[in-house]
Amino acid sequence: MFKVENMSLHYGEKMALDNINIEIKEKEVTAFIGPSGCGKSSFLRSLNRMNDLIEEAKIEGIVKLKGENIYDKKYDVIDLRTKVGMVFQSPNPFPMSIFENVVYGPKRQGVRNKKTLREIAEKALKQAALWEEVSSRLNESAMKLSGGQQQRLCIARTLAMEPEVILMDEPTSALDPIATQKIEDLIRELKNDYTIIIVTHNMQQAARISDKTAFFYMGELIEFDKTTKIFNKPKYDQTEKYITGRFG
Amino acid sequence: MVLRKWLELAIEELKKDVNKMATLVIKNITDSLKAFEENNLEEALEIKKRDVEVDKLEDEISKKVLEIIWKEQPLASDLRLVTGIYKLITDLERIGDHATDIANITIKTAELDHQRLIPITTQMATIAKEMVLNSVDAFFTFDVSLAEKTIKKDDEVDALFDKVTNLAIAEFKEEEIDAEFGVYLLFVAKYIERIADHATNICEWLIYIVSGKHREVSLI
Repeated sequence: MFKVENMSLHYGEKMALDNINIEIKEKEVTAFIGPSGCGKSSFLRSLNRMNDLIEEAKIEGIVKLKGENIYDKKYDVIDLRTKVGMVFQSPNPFPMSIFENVVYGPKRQGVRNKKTLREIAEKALKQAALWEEVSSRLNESAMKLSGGQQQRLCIARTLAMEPEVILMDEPTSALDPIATQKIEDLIRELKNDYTIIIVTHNMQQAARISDKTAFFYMGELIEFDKTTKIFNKPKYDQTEKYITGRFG
Repeated sequence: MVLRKWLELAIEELKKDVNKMATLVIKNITDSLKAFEENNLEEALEIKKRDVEVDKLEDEISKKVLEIIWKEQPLASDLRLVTGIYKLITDLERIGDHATDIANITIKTAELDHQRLIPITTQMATIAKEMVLNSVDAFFTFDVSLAEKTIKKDDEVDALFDKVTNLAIAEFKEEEIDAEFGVYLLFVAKYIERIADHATNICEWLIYIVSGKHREVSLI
């Protein structure tokens, strides 16, 4: 799905990512792990050009999505963000109804037919395992939902755009264990249809839900392998020290 | 500051317990073979008592391993070490059981006047004891090469067991051996052969702890 070649990222003078090479497969869950400031979130954001919003961010190298360099001048960023959706650390529903939140993207893209919008909302909410909890109150404010429900709503909002990839930046760090469990179950379900890339500080979460794991340290991709391998017998000492909690 | 201090302390504690258990098991097999050879009933009874200690240690270690898993959620080398220990203490406990089995035979044959150990079984016992010692040594030093050398020794014990079996059959046919004692002697030989098998298993778990591979199969 993604093929990244010799990619580096600078914020002004500061190097955030140094010569990253990685290939992310379709319909797999890939976890990015590493200590704070290691570059994993920066790298995640560079996969749908969220770093474009940071003025002093400068990218070098190639980031191919299905064979096309997303940093090519001709590449349509709106199209990119439709294909590559994103879910953030804290649930960020818009201050509007549950229904309007989900159909926000399709509406912006010009879908007007009410029946179509209803179908989109129902499908996305069902995929996000939220339909049963909200189907009777779609017109209520999304702000009334619990944190866990809000995060699933944000996932539904992303799914409504029918993306191919979902990027998740610590999607459960603000949630309680039950809400976290629901999101993790959802990720496992969604992987049948989507490519998911998740940044997490929770080792056990990475171990539970991902197929592959990438370990970043000080802007470098130290190790990328099957999750089973990373958490049982990583190749490099730095990875071993980080995942066994002896890094510091 | 040592990161994961509690986990490191818990693993050290675990290793000490394994050492205690291994020391006791090695003493029991050495003494049980000697007691059989010397027809020492008193010692045989002592060994039976000491096996209770071995079982207790196995339970204590199992409890500590489970506690480390649920509290500390170890990963990578830590995970392989604690799961490897969890498996190898079963083998240590079984070696202890066989020491008791031999002690039981000493008790049963106390009244029988017969040469206790024949050269082949003595040779088997020497190799098996050395295998247990080396397997434990390999575990504590993470010495894969010693573990591999020890595993190879198992074939020698197996070959000697076949030899002692054939010899016993021949002697039974010729009625050169007392049938009752002959059967017990064969049992002792079988227990020694099993002890060597468990020493092999310990070595295989050590290799897993170091490499992640168990009998050439990757468990990862």
